[in-house]
Amino acid sequence: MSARLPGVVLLAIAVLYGWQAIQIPVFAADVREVMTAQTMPLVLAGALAIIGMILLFPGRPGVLLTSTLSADPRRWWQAAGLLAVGIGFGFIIEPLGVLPACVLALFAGLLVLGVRRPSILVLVPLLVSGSMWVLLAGLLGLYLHPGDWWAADV
Amino acid sequence: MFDGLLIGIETAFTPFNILMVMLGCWTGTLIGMLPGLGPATAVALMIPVTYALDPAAALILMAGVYYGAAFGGSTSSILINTPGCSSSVVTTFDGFPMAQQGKAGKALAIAAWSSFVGGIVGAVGLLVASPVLSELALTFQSPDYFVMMVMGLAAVASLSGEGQVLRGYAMAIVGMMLATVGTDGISGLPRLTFGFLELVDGLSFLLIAMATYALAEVVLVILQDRMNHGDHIRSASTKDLHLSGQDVRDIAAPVARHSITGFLIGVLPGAGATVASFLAYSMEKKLAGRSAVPAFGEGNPRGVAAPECANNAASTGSFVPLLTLGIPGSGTTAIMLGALIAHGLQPGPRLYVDHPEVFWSVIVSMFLGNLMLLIINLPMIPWLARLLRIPQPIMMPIVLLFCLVGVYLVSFDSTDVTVMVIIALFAVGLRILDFPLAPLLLGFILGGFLEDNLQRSLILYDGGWQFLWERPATFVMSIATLVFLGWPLLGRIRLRRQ
Repeated sequence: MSARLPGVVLLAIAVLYGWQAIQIPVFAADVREVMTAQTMPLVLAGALAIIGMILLFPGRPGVLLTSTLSADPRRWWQAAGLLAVGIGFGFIIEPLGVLPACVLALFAGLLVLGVRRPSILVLVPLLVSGSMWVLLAGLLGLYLHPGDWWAADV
Repeated sequence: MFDGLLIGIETAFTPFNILMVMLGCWTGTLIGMLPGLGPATAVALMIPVTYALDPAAALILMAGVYYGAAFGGSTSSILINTPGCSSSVVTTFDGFPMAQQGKAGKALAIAAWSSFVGGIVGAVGLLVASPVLSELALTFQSPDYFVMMVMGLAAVASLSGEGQVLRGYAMAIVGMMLATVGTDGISGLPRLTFGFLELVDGLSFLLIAMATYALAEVVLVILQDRMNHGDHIRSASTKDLHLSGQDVRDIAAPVARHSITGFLIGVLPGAGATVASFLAYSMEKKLAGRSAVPAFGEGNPRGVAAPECANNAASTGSFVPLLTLGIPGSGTTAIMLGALIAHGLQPGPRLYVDHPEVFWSVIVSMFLGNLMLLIINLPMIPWLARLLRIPQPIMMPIVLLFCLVGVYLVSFDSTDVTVMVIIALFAVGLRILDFPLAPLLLGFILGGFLEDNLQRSLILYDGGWQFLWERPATFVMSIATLVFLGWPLLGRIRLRRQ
């Protein structure tokens, strides 16, 4: 991977953020003020752009973690799968409720990471989610959403 | 001070808060033992639990998790040669060779006793230094705070590690950029929200902390193939947890030295436990010379004692800037700062005046926590270490679940879960490009305060910048900031010339 990539990434962030900073509305009465809502974002964008440009010409390139990343495509699929489980959890937590969503997410997470033993696939999600429920709702008294589907039935 | 200490004892010694110390130490030890999951992750994972607690109990719990995780980190360093966190990397150098020689119990006992002494010396330092610094900080005005925050960010970035200084600055700026999202304090209008109502209140601190530390770490453990499957981990002998008189004499001097240096390094923003442990080890190795028997790196007990007491003293020392100035010195204390703000408390000199029970009880709880680590956790290590046998394909989805539930519980908004996953992806990308993430978190937390204080300072001085040098305290901090900012850049120029 190119040693210039970190600089390019920073420059891209600075340009995108700076462009958005220019769009921040400023009241006509505030235009002459020392600081407006735009000031800090524009300063930050400028500072990041300068660092980005310096990093485009590295004196000594940093050690990118790419060399330590697994070449096995299975690992990449597993990481992507786990993140997909996270997004899926966001979709099911409100209709299903916290407890069933936790059980399902953990079950899916274990499957994604290659666990195939039925006893683990069943027991771990039930035990961990159940313990979490007892700790958060039972002992600490936190409200855990029971689920829109079940609430609608009631 | 004695009145405050009494308030602290009264608050910390309630049965519930003692339970929190114990729970914090255990949870921290368990999470800290897991390779890849350090104190910052452990503290971040506990935040949702703290929402049900009062601020004093919450901070006591998080502090317990912090030093418990450091303790757990050294256990996995010694037993499986895999540090649980960066501050215990050095412990592997001599700890694991000791375990290979059948002295795992002794190595664990040395680590525990050294951590205990380091923690207690650190707590005494915190007890003495914090009130003095708080009294001094009460005289601070907006310009002082502005310069102090810039100094803190510059220090953290400049101490990010070799070749990472500019990247550290860049991440502090990116963190401040994230902090600008939400309602603008000047105009009261939404800023950089892209029309999303969910962003009007700004990004949640917990979401950023969980995404950058916990979730990103889970993904990196998988991508870097760091998952153990529990099958290569053999039990080390942990029966002999006693130290002989000779052992104590061997480690007494290094422990005394590095408890003090560790505390002083911990007080500096940005330096932290990792720097303290590396410095302690290299200093001890130089002092011992070539005559050390066994040699350093081949199982010398001093190679375990020095970094362990230094990292624990530094962890405690990092509470000084947090409690007295409201400036976190590391990623972990930044997470604690964010959690306290979520509890409606603003750490800083006013904490000492307005919430003495929180301020003092945390300090008192550190004595209790370190004692608990020694007398409760150390004998339990043979059992706690069994956790290392749980294959990580089982552990990682559990950590993922804690992150997901934790973020959801703060806002009860499922959109936050998706936003967290997106930010975690961004954080993984930054980590792969070798950007340090602690400055990002610090920038995010301090960004809003920094902007407010800059604005106030400019108004106070009619738009002039003379506030940077008019008051002696501000002047000294401005010079220190320039040193932090300029030193690494000078090094870079020197490097180019070479």
